[in-house]
Amino acid sequence: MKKHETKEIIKIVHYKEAEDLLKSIVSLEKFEGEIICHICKTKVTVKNFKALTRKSGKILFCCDNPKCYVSFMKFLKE
Amino acid sequence: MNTIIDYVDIINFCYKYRIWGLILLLCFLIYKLLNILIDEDKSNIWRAKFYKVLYKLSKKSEAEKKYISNDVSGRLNLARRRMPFGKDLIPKSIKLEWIENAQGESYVPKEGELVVKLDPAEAQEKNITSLAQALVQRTALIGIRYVLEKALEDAIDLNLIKSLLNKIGNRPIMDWYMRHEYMPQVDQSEDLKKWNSKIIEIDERGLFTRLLLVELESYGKNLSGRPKTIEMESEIKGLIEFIFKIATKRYGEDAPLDYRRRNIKIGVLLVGETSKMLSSIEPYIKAFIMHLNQEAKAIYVVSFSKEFLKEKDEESSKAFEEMRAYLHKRIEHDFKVQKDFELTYSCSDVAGRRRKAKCVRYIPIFK
Repeated sequence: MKKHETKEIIKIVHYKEAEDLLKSIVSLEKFEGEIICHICKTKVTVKNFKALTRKSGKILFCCDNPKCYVSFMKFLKE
Repeated sequence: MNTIIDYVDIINFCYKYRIWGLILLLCFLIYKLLNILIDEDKSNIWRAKFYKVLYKLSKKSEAEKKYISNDVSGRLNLARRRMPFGKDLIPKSIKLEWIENAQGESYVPKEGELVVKLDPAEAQEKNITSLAQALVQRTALIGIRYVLEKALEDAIDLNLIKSLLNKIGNRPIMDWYMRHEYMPQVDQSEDLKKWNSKIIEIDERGLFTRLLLVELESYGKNLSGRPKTIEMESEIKGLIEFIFKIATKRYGEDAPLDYRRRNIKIGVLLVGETSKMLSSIEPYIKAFIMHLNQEAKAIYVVSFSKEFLKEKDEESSKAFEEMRAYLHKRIEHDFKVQKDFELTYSCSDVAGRRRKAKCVRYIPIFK
């Protein structure tokens, strides 16, 4: 019998559906102004959006710069 | 070439034994099929292959999504299982869930939930790499990360991801990772470069996952939430320097073979010199006793066979193997130790020659 293993669940979004996801989050959370990368502070658009999370109630975004993505992952573990 | 021979053998077998041959072949195929069906990761790989064909033919997003998620999770989870201590070093397997953003419905991420945007199926190397990074950084080295200096933590992560991707056994994925992630990250900091070069040397002798990460994992368990101190940081840096010296030791050179600090006490026995080994195993036994007297918490016996000996002198090669087996027998018989693991692997030595190696970890039992 296979031992039950815990899994790390990661939500993924298809590149074609990323725009709808961003729009729905922005409208729901009533973001004021632009959404920015939590690491490098550049503007996040559908084109350069890579990841998002909720931390301490706030939704945080990350752009597709590899350095930002790595730092974003590390930041989430802090 | 081998596959062709295998198929010919199977056909010959069936031709020779007729109906019994076919029944046996059928049983074998059912067994293989059951193996795949029971194993979630293997069945993910097969599902991915099916949806890849479907996507190529139909170009539909649903088929593309199923291909991407089954392929990524199947490959990463199987690679994790193939790594030495993969299940301990990366304690969780990955499970991917698509966000189905039906029109008019809003998605609200939960606290701590990570959402990653994936690229088209044609850029699957990028998708696999992104999720390998997420898996390693979210699940590995828990309990010790806060003690590690940033550059060192980055170097360990980069090489752990490299080891994981290496076990996938797909060169385009590894090439993509090295070119777009690994090298650019290493090049951005001198500190990272310094630690990375040490980790690479350690990894080339096969001691990254089999010794360094094993000891870091054990160190993390012992820390159990104690606040970071300068002593802890220095102990870990010292451990890496210690293993690095062993990894870069050349023939005839001396390297320290014990590392004793307040929270880490390990000893290493290096078995590599054929002439020394063939004359007597007593020096190794004496060294083992010395590590026991120093109350080492773990003793590693790392041996490197000289593969070229086999071609030149088969007798010496055989004698070396026999003496090595005898050494382990003596250790287990003469001392109160528990064999934690024994791993045989292939690696390159300092001169770049391929060697067969064996790493055995003993845990001494003190009263």
